[in-house]
Amino acid sequence: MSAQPETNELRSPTTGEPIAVVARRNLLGVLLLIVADVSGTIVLCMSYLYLHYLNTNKSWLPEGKESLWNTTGMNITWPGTVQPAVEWHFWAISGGILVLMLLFWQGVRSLRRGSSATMVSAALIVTLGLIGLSVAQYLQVRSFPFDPTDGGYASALTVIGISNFLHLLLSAFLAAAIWNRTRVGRISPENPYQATLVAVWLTWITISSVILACLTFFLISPSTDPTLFGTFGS
Amino acid sequence: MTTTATETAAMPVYPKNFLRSLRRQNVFTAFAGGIVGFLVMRVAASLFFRGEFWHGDSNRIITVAFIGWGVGFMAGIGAFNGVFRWFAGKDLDHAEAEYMAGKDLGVKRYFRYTTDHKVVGIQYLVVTMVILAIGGTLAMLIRTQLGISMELFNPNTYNSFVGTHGVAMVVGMILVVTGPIGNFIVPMMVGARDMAFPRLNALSLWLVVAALIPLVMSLFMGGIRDGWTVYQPLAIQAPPGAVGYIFFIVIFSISTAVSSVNLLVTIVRMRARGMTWSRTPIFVYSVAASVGLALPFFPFYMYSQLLALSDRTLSTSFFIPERGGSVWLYEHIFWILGHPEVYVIILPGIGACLEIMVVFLRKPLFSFRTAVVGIAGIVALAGLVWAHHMFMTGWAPLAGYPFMISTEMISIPLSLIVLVMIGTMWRGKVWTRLPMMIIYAVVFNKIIGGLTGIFLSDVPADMHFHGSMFVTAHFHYMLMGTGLFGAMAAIVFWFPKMTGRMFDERLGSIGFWTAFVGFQITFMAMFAAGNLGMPRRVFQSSELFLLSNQISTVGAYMIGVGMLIFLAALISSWKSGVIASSNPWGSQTLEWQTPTPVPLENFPVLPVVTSDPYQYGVPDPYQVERDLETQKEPVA
Ligand code: HEM
Ligand SMILES: [Cu+2]
Repeated sequence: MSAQPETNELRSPTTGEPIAVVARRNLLGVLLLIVADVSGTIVLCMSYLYLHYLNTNKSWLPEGKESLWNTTGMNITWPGTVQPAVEWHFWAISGGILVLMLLFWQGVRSLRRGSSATMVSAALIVTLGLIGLSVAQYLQVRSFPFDPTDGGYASALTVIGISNFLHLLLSAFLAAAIWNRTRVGRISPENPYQATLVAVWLTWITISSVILACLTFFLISPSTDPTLFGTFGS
Repeated sequence: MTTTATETAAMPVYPKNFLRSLRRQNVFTAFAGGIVGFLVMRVAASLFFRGEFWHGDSNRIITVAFIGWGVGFMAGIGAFNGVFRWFAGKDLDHAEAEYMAGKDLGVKRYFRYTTDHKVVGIQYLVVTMVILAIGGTLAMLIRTQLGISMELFNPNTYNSFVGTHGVAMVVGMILVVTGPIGNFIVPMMVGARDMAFPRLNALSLWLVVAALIPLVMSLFMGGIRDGWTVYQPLAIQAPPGAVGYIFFIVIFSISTAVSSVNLLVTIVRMRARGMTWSRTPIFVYSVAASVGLALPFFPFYMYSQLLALSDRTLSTSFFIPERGGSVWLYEHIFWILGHPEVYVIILPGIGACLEIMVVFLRKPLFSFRTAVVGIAGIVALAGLVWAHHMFMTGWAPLAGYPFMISTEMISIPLSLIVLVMIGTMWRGKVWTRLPMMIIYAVVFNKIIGGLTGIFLSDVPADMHFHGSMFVTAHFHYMLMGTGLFGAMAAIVFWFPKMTGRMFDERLGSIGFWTAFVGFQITFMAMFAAGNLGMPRRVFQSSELFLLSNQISTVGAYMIGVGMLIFLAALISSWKSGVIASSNPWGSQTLEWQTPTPVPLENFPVLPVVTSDPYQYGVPDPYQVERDLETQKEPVA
């Protein structure tokens, strides 16, 4: 192929195209993959809200565990109060991701301004932070004051927790890769685009986890006289 | 580079360790890895879950084992090598990339994680034919049972044949145009050297192969009893074969997302210089529309199955009403994908027909814009009609009417495309080659499928038709009569470019028309049975339906024979057909402007496009007609 190096424009080692072309292509690719992941978040929201509003068999909230939500003595009405046992964990994790995401963007900014050092340390901190958050997410799911068997709410929260957990792990891997690649010089002020792509991904992860955390506002089902299915064995 | 000496001299020096691992990995190590992963995880899971779940509940064990299968298989084929190399900062250089694209590897490249889009296209063709063959064999067994009044299988086996047939065919049909033709032809059609992400291209192909094993294994684990839609709450009560279905769909969904992204980026970002949107071939539009629908909607399918898996293995209750779940939730999530999926299936088939008929009628599309508007209209409405599958479920009966209207509205863009087809035929001078003849059959079937769809989308009429063989006949007119037949036209048309040989049209025609006649017999009789009230997915039915069932079965055997003849034509042409020139149809799209066999990087020099690809003579059909009369042989 006639790779005519115009001036000292950086070229991809694999195809010989200018890096800017590859970067544009990869950005579109990442955005489209995010589109697919957005659908996943939509399904989780839809499942939560659908079961919430139906309250089938009066089994939205865990049976006999309504008291859980009264430990603070607050009267729960929509949009509800944030409850210590379960919900604030979601918010804490979302907040953690938000901070890490901003830190990562900071690294990308300084990379674009010409220094790799900040990116290396930012990516390292973000990696460790994301690993920490996935452990926290795991512990949260394990310490829910109910079992996955305890109805719609319990089901939805369990799966949302697992989904967050897997997203966090994947993001930690990506951040770690950026750390290593920047360290060895593959990502550099002249060629920062992969760091930007991971920053874009982290932004979406933050948004998704905030959206899912917002679901916990919808606690008590408005359906007070739902369809009953009896108690035939399962 | 003609002499061996220069070739050896030009052989790049590959870094040792990378190539050593790549050289060793192929489809055999993939299967070995998968089997080891499966067994190890299975044993580990049995030990781990013994206390809780030893009796009866093997769902968790099988789930863990299937994860082992998937990871082991993909590791065995080498899918993770690139990921770790990227992590380590060891990017491919050009020579390594060419090695991965299968340079100088001969036939071996078809059995590896090869990145060349042309290899992937051929691999997709073979894999898709395997899937369709599995589905087709099951169809024959199903029809055999329905055509006689004694029990050939036990009811559970019969049901699982129906479910497996359904889902295998749906997946096969999603793949049949986009997989082989989309991968092989589209990058060349837009004037690119490869897909945007060659390694992801290999990934999507091998994920399909990995997905197939859980599907096949499900047959031995109680089967997929509940139809391809695996409605709840039946599915949760089904034997662990259902887990095989779940893994098939989950892995396939990942593959779909990856390949959709790949095709979309290729189409949006890699078109040749000068190929503006109005100069982009209509087939490219249809593929973009298809994967553009698959990308946002397929995750719904995947999540419907992940939530079902969660109900099975984690004892959640998304779909178990007794514990706060809802079966309507399942149906919504399923059909939010399920309806767009039918467009994912037929759009590339229809687009291929539009692309092909232009060549054989030697005149431009009747209206390129109208065709684009039709495709865009379908994409815009596809996500708004899903509940027409739920009219009779009791879910919000009044909501049926808006969905009835949206469904009937989507017939409008679909009809626009039919009009473009008919308009293009109008006063065209037909070059009666097999691909063109198939298109006439496609238009016929598409009209019948579309019209019966309108019956079904009418809420009161659907009270009568829902759940009957009428529905089955409707969607076979669409899926098989339009989608599969369209794909056959596409395969015959692009065969010379893909294999370097002409398709044997004599044998191919015999096969195709036998299948076509068999098709009409089978499914016309099925409309009759459905209208009489015969429910679908039943094992044995009333004497009332016996005659139409017998007719259907005879027709089905004709389809079977026809398809086998077509397959024989395909195989024999591939092996020993007439060698094709680089542009045997005199087509104007870019893929025909490059030599056959296509060189590794497609074009010696990247093309620059200066007009749309439909400039056959002048756009005035009368002029084209006059031209053709004087020319006899069509000339580009
Ligand atoms: C004019 C366009 C179409 C209309 C109005 C239409 C309408 C409908 C309706 C209302 C149903 C539900 C029937 C019932 O379950 O009672 C249905 C079922 C179905 N349609 Fe169509 N359809 C159209 C085109 C297509 C196309 C293009 C395909 C495939 C390529 C397709 C494939 C299917 C399938 C697979 C089912 C059955 C799903 C199942 O229950 O297993 N349809 N159609
Ligand atoms: Cu539909």
